[in-house]
This record gives sequence, structure tokens and C-alpha cells, in this order.
Amino acid sequence: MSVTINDLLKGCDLLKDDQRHVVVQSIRNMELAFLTTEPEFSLDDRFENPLKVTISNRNYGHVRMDNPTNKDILVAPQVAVMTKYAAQNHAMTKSAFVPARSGEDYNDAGCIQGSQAGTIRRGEHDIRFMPVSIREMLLDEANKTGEYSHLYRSVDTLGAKTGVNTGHYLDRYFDKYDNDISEFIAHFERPRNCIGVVVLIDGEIVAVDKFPSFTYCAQVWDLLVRDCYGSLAIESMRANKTHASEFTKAFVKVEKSRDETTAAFLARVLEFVQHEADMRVIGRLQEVMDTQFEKEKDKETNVYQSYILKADGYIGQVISSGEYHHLVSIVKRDRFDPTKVRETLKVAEDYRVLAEKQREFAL
Amino acid sequence: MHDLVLTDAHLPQVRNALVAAMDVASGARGKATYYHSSDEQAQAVCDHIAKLYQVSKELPLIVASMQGTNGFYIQEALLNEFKQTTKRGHNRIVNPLDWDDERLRDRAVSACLDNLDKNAGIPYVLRMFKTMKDRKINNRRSRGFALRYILGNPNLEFVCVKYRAKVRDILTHAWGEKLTGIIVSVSSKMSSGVPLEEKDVEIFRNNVLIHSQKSDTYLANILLFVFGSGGAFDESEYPVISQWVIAHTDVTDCHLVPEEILKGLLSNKNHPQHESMWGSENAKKATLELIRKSNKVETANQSVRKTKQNKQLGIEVESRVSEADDPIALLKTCYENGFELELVDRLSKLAKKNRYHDFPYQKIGIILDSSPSMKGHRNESKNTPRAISDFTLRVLRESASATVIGTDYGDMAGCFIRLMGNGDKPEAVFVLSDGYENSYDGLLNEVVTAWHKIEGALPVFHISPLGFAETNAKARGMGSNVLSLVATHKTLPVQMQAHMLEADTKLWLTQAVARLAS
Repeated sequence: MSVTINDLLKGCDLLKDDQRHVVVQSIRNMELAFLTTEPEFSLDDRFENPLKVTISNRNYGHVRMDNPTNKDILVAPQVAVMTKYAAQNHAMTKSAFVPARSGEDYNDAGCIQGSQAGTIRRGEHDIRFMPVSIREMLLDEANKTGEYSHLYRSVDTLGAKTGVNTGHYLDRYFDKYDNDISEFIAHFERPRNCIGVVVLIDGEIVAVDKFPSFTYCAQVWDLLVRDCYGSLAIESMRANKTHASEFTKAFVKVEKSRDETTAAFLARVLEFVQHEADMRVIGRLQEVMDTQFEKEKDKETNVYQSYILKADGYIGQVISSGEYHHLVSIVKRDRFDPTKVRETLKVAEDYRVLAEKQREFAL
Repeated sequence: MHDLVLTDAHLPQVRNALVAAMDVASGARGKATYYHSSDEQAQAVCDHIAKLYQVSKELPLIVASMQGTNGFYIQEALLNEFKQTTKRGHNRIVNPLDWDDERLRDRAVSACLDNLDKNAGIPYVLRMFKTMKDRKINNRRSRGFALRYILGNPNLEFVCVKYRAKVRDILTHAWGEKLTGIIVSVSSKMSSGVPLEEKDVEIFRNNVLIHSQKSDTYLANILLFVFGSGGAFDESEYPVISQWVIAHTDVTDCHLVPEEILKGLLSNKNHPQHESMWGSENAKKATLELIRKSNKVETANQSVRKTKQNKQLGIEVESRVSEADDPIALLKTCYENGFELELVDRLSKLAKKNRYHDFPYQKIGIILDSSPSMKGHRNESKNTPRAISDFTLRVLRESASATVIGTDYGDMAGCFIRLMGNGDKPEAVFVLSDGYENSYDGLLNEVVTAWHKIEGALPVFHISPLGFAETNAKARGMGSNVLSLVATHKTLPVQMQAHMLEADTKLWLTQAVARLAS
């Protein structure tokens, strides 16, 4: 069974502003483009706020999710439970669904707090999202049960990427960067009618998230930006990456005509910059649209099916009801370099064009 | 007139510190922003004042005495001053003899206290004196100011009723537990007509009477009320306290007692009217209506801020919008309940009243950022930044011919270009925003730079309604060609002046010191 991103994002469009430009918000070399949809495909009343799920566990590597509400809950990708008392914090490797007034057990969760002992009591806990930088590693661990320590490696990797001596303790990362990542909430403001996000680093797509509704997106927005995508901005900050001063570059490139006012000229330069940004986002999405994902069955009920999605350069998860996809989360694999693929394709295209020019062999 | 001792060597340091200080002082708030807690914001202001004191010890008080300085900044500047001994710090602006021996320093503190009382209100002053206990500040000078302020207050009785616990804490901290006990005991004797020993008279005179113009029996009874130790309260002499006493059994006709106190009394299960007037939602609603209709001590601003609650509870209270003079309270009410004609009308009257008379520009362009982060912190100080910017915009429109463009997504660069393409070119552009561009940081600055290259200089002021913890309580900068200031409608002219003071710092300082001395 396979599926393409094109299928997964069925019904969605890139969010555009009044001038029909793709809305792109950025910080340093990280950009966010937004997905929207027709209101009828935003199932605002169908699902409960995912942060209302109650989490507990019986043993290490296990997470029990209870839904005390009257609506089904789709738990956002890879949540972490941080307790304020002596108990081992746990993280999920994937998204989950919990039908109304019932509970679900997940045995492929993992510890994220080193040697801390104690299980999580049922009640209200601090829910954080796992940073997107390690989403790939977490998804690779999905459905590996009976392994309480299988997420330690991903926490180590996060520490190495962000320059924190985390050891196996995720809380050390949040302790160090909480102030910095909170600031991203003001940087990235959720546009109206947003149902999903495309994340780009250095102009390459690194993650795609699509949620069940506008409301759901609003409910998880702060956590998504602060905890999940924030890690990418932290990596950029550490690498001292900056945004390219694209307007200034274009200002030198574009010529002002004699009868043009300065305002009209600057508007044209800005239009040029925005058009370039549009082309970049659309072009990159175009490239990944036909990527074939193999679907591995994860969990299913009569209504919902969850699949882990695997492709050469990407890994992800989808929670669907038949052909209708509620929640999609995809991340680029670290080892995958789209520029190399692009170069290879270009060489192949050059040869194809060259071949087309060749006349038929004739004697 | 006091001569300045400021040397040319220190001039640049003092000038830069002053300019930076005005930025912080006019926007400083100990309140949370969209993503910083109030503690982080407050710490940034405290750090800034400590640094300013190190440059020259007069600077925090000079800034705190200026019109438009934010209440929180004045509080912190005064606390910093009370904490320091005379031997600490350097006088680099006025002669140390003038400052210490001629008591210029005390006059400066009085000017700041006066500024805090008039512009921020009594809760700020009391909070400041109460904080002295937490910060372990207790010296003769700080005690004197606290006691003079409270005991010499012209509205002493009402203040003691409304802020009884605060006043009790401040007096106890100033006198100490032991002396407080003695003073209360002497007051008790005075109130009941027991003859006093000479020692008692001396204690009462040196610690109480010296700070007030009121009679000794009046003060003794007020003190007994504050410390809950009896006292005789005649209705003609103590109208508020006598109503407060009645309110313990019947709240129906206590129009001089503040609403919060009446609610507090009624919510106590032992109050005889608890069941009938506070026992159910309907009873609460009827009681609130009764209190709000008869209350004579609530300000118009307080009354306007209760509009939403009144509507929710279905209470019909006569609107006092026409008396309200706090534009932030009015705007917050508008955001909650809609822009009703009466509110809009009052706002435009206030904007007209506050317009800048010596505004340096005739034609201006304004960009108003209405993105979500302008709504303030998720839990604290909701809508404050938005209200500050909104009213600054109204005042600017009254002060010059203005073209306004708004953006919902922080697209300041696009707005700037649209503004400049509008035909009538402005002499200056004001960007009312918290400084977050959603496209990419610095885009506006790039556009302004390009404009400068083609059309020449154009002043672009970024007016941030609040300072940020990560920028040490200053505005979040938008780039080298955009001058970022933290300002409200009150402080904007001062802020612009501050940047002009760079031209003649010494003259500006001479005037500032003269203002303190007067």
C-alpha cells in the first residue's frame, strides 16, 4: 500500500494573502508556509482539544491515554509528559487517537528522563511536544514495544544538535531554551483559517503537518511553534544562520524605470521578492508531491486507521478514516539531501533533452 | 539654580544613559508581554535602574520625576534610592554638597513620590512602601517618607479603610513590632481619655504627630482602626469608618465604603446578610446592582471597566463614560464590549485633549500593527499593548494630518510602501508595533534604506507599546534606519525630545535639575 503527499494533503491549499502571494513567515533561515482548506473540511466540532487527554502509566515504556470528554481526541504528534513530582517523564513516538470516554494503551512509548524513578500518576501534567529535529528518530521507534530506553538516543541527538548536555534528560533542553523558544510564539503568528504548516530550512522542506481543523491548529499552535519547530530555530541560531537580505539583493537586481515613482518601484521589488518566495515554496512542494510513501499499519478501530509512512527521504504518520486524512505529520530524513536528488534529476533531464535532439538513426 | 559639575569626559556616558533610560522609563512595565512573564520583565527594569545609578546617582530620580514616566519605573527608582546609603555611588551631575547637605536628594525623592501619586495612583505608592519590607529596606529616610505619606495623607480615613492591611504592614515595618505595640497602646489610652505619661506623649509626638497636621485624638483613633484595637468612631468625624462598622451587620446603605470591602464582608458566612444577599447567584446579582448604584467612592474609570461584568450579570448601572479619563480602560472596554458610540466619542474627546501642541510634523504616516502578539500576554495584561498603540494613534491623528495603514500579519514593509505611494508624502512615518515582522526580521529596515537611497532622509519612528525582557526593557529594534522607542501617548513627545537632547545635553540637564530643586 502506498500513498503520495498529494493524496495526504487532499483538500488543502497553500494559504495566500490578499495579493495572492503565499504567506511565508520566517526567522533566520527557517520559514513557515501555511495550509488552509474549505471550511467544510475543517472538522471543528468533531474532535476535542488534544491537550485535554489525561496521561498516566503503569511501567516504563508504557503510556495510558484517557479521554474524559464526549468527543474523540487525536493526540498531536509525539507528545511528552513532564511531571513535577518524582516520576519518569515519557514521550510518545507517534500521534495517537483516543475515542470519547475511553482509554488507549501505548507500549511503544519511552523514557526521556535518565535514571529518574517513578511512574506517572493519572492527573494533569505538563504536556510538551517533542522537537521536530528528532521526529524522524522517534517515528523509527514506533511500535517497538517493551523497550523503555529506546528514546534515549534521540534525546542525546537533540542535545548534540542544540548544544545542551542533555544526557538522557529532555527537561534539560527545555530548561536551557525555554525563554528563547517562547519568543518564537510572537514571531510566528497563526494566520486565520490555518489547518497545517510546511516548514522549510534553507529553502528545503523539512516537515509538513496537517491537522483535523482550524480549531485544532489553534489549540496546539503555541506548543507546535515553541516546542516542536523551535528546535530548528535554535539550531539555526547556534549555527549563526541568518535570513538572506532578499529585498536588498533584489533592489540591486531590479531596475527602476524613468517614469516610475519610488513607491511603485519599491512595490515592484517587494513583489519580485514575494514572487521568488512563492516560487520557492511551490517549487519545493511540487518536488515532494509525488513522493511515494509505503504505508505500515500502526493501529486501527472501526473509525480510525493510523499508518506509519516511509519513503526514501521522508518518514511520517497519517491518521485517517478511510480515504479521509485527519492528521498528517511528515519529516525529512536527516541523511536525505534534496539538492543532490535535484542535481541527479537535472543531469537526467539534460540527457533526455539531448536525446530528443538526436535524429533517428538512418542508413 | 544649582551648578552642574558634569565634566566633558563624563558627558557622553551620561547622555547615552539618559537617552536609554527614557526609552525604558516611558514603557517600563512589570507586566507580562505576549511571551515573557511579569517577573522577567520586572527584573529587566531593576537591572536597568541599577546600571543607571552606577553612571550617576541622580539619574534614576531625574528620570523618575519626569512627566509620563511609567509608575512601575518610578517605584523601582525610589526603591533603589531608598536602598542606597549616602556613601554609595557618584554624583557626576550636581555637586555632592547640594545633593546631600542641601537636601536636594530629598526634594528629588519628594518630586518622584508626588509624580507617582498623581500619575499612577495611591496603590502604586503603597505597593512601593510595602515592597520595602520584602527588600529589607528600613532606614531613617525611607521610614520618614513612608510615614509622612500615610499619616499626612489628606484622605487618611478613606485610605485606611480601603487599604487597611497594606497600611498596617507599612506602619508596622516602619516602626517595628515593638514600637508599633507601644504606639497602639498609647493611642488606646488617648482614645479612652486615660491621662498619658510624659514618655508616652513624647513617643506619640516623635513617631506620629510629627508626620501629620491632624489632631492627636483623630490620629490615635485612626491607628486603632488600622490595627483593629477598638477606638471611638463618631459619624461626623469618621464617616467612612462608621459606615464600615455598620456594614458588618448591614451593607445596604454604605455608599462611602468601597465595593471590594463590602463584597469581602458579605462573602463571610458569619455576616448576617450572607445568606440573603450573597447566598445565590441571583442574590449576588441584586446585591452588586444595589452596591454599584449607590456607591459614591468608585472612580469613573473603575466603573467603566466593570461594563462587561455588569452586562454578563444583567446589572443596569448608569454609565459614567463621559467622566472617564483613562483611555486604556476605555479601549479595553471597547475590545470586550464593542465600540459603542459613547465610548468612541469619549475616546476622541480624550485624544483631542491630549494632542501634542508643539508636534514637529504637519503630515505624518502611521502604520498600525494589529497582529496577535499586540494583544498582550495570554493570561496577564490582556489587550494592554494594543490599547496603548490604538490611543497613541488617535492622539497622533489629532496632532497632525495623518494617513493610517493597518496590518494584521506584521507586514510593515508592505504597509510602508503603500503609505509612501499614497500621493501626499508624509514628513515622518510612525510604526506602532511590538517590533515583530512576520515576513522576515529587518525587511522594513531594508525597504526604508532603499527609500533613503532614492529619495533621501525620512524619519521613521517605531513606537513600541512595551519594552522586552530580552532587550533589557527597551524596544525591540527593527534596524539601523528605524528609530525604535518604547512610548505611550503621554511619553512620545518626551521620547522624541530625549533623542533631541543629544544635541545639548548640559542645557537639558540644567533644566531637569532645576525641576527637581523646585
